[in-house]
Order: sequence, then structure tokens, then C-alpha cells
Amino acid sequence: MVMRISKYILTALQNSILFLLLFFLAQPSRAQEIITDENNDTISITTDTITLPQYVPVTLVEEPTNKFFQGFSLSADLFGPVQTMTTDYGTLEAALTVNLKNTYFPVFEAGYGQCDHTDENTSISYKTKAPFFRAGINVNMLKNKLQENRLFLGVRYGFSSFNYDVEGPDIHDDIWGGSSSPNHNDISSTCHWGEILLGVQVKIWKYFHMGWSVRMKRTLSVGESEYSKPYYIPGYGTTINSTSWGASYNLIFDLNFGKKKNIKVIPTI
Amino acid sequence: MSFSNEADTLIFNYSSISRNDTIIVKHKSFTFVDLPECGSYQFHELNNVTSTDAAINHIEIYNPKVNYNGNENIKIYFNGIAE
Repeated sequence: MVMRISKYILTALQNSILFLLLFFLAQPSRAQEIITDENNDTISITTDTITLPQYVPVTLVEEPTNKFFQGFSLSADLFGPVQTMTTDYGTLEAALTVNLKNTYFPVFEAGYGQCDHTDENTSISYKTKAPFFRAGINVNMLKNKLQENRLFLGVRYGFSSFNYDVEGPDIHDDIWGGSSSPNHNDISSTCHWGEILLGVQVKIWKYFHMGWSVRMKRTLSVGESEYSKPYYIPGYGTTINSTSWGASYNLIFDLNFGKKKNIKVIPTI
Repeated sequence: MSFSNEADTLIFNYSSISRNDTIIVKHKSFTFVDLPECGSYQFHELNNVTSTDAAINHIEIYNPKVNYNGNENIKIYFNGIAE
């Protein structure tokens, strides 16, 4: 009991000494003023001014961070329209890309492919127009993920359901007589394919980026008719070889909402 | 095989026996385009095959698709041995 009372007394003494120290260290100055109001009553006003012993400024330091969701971007391919104008086939396509930690970029691509090709030697023509879709992911391979430029490796799954027309001259039966026509319209087909790609992307102005990619494509399954097999698959390309190569040159509008969040402000003394 | 007829007839003449065998192959014919650069081909699909029985025991369709893959399409089983 005696011990507990002495402990209370000791704590009270410590607090009193600390208060007195703070009181004197703060160097308070007191001014007293006596004024008279409208009713001729005397009022005493006391003003206390406390001067702090030292002012320590706080510095704000910007530290880079990498948030998970960094926004998304819209892009349009410029290579496909040029290819359409200069060759027998090509695409119009756009892509929506999600930016996760400036490292992983899930991509959804949609477009419209067309082909109108006639071989000079055989006079056989092939025509198709159809939409196509691709989904996949790009991975930024650069070590510094926060910079605006990127080097990608990516994979895609592609799909297109399309109809095509084949026309050509009749072939004649020289032994038994008669002829047969290769002409068939609206042959229906569906194709699934896979792609791997390598690409780069650089910032050109504010939210605008440009980039290119080279793609290697292989079909997973192609629906063939008994009358023909597809010469051109929208979004995939020609089926002349077992592997199809493609390219894209993209104009990208980057809505990088996470850009400002990539700098974290930390107060330090 | 003919391009436009629905059936083709083949007659086998044997030197050792007096009778002949007649084989009738019913089929559908169509033109196949592989690639425009490669031109077109005449393919057939066998529907039915029959034969007489002078020397042939029986006949059957082994693969109905007649195309450029070089498949074996018809098997003919004879009663005797060819000399």
C-alpha cells in the first residue's frame, strides 16, 4: 500500500517537473491591458505569447512506386490499311489494352479482314470479307517498368468465322467428255489460330505512343469444305505456308491513369 | 473416273476363263480448289460398287474419297490366283 502511494507521488512529481520545464523552455511572455467598455466598466485583458524554441522544416520526398492498375490504352493498326491498298488483302483493326503494373498487358483485338485475289496463271479467284477477334497478353521485358518505352513479348489466340467465294474456269474431261466448274459461293469456314509476337512501343507526345510488332502465326484448326480450302483467313493471313507472318504498326492513345500514382510523396524531417 | 457421269463401268477380260467380270462404280464428282496458285482438281466420292462373279469373289469400298492423296479406294477379292 505504501509502495503504491509513493509510486503515485513519484509520477505526479515527474509530471509536474516536465510541465515546468516545458513552460519555461517555451519562454511565454504575458501582457496585461486594462480597457473601459461603453458602460464605463473596467475590463482586464491578459495576452499570453509562447515562443517555440526551434522551427524544423519538413521536406517532401517523391519516391517511385508501381501500382497494380495503371489504366488502359486504345490503339489502331496503320499497317493493315496500307497492306489493303497495296496488295490483294489486308485488315482494319483496333485493340484495347489493360495496363497492370506496367508489366502485364492483357489485350483484346478486333478487326475486319478482306481478300480479293485472282491468280494470273490459273485465273482462279478467292474473295472473303469477315470480322476477326484476338485475345492475349503482352509482357514488358524492360527492367525499368516505370519508363514510357516498352519492349513486348506476347501471345494471342485468334478466331474468325467467315464465308468465301471461289471462282475459276471449268475443267474439261478429255476422256469421257463433259466439264466441271470450281465455282462455289458462300463456303462457310471457321478458323482458330495462335500467335507469338515481339514488339516495341515508344512515347511520341503526351498520351500518344507508337509501336510495331512482328507476329508468327499457326493455325490450330481450319474448317475445310469438300470444294476448297481457305486461301486467306481474316486476321490470320494466307494459308500458303504452314506458318503465317504478320506485322502491325500501331498508333496508341494511352490513358495511363496510374501515372501520377507512380510517385508517392513521403514527408521527412 | 468420269467428271460428269454418276457411274463408271469397268470390264475385266481374263485369258484363262471365258467369262468377263463387270464392275460398276457409282460416285459423286466435284472440283476442288486447293489454292488459287495450284489450280483445280477433280475429286470423287464413291457411293457404291458392285461386280459380277466370274473370277471375283467380292468387292468393297475401302476409302470413299478419291483425291490427290493416293489412297487405296477399292478392294477386289478374286476366287483364284493370278498367273
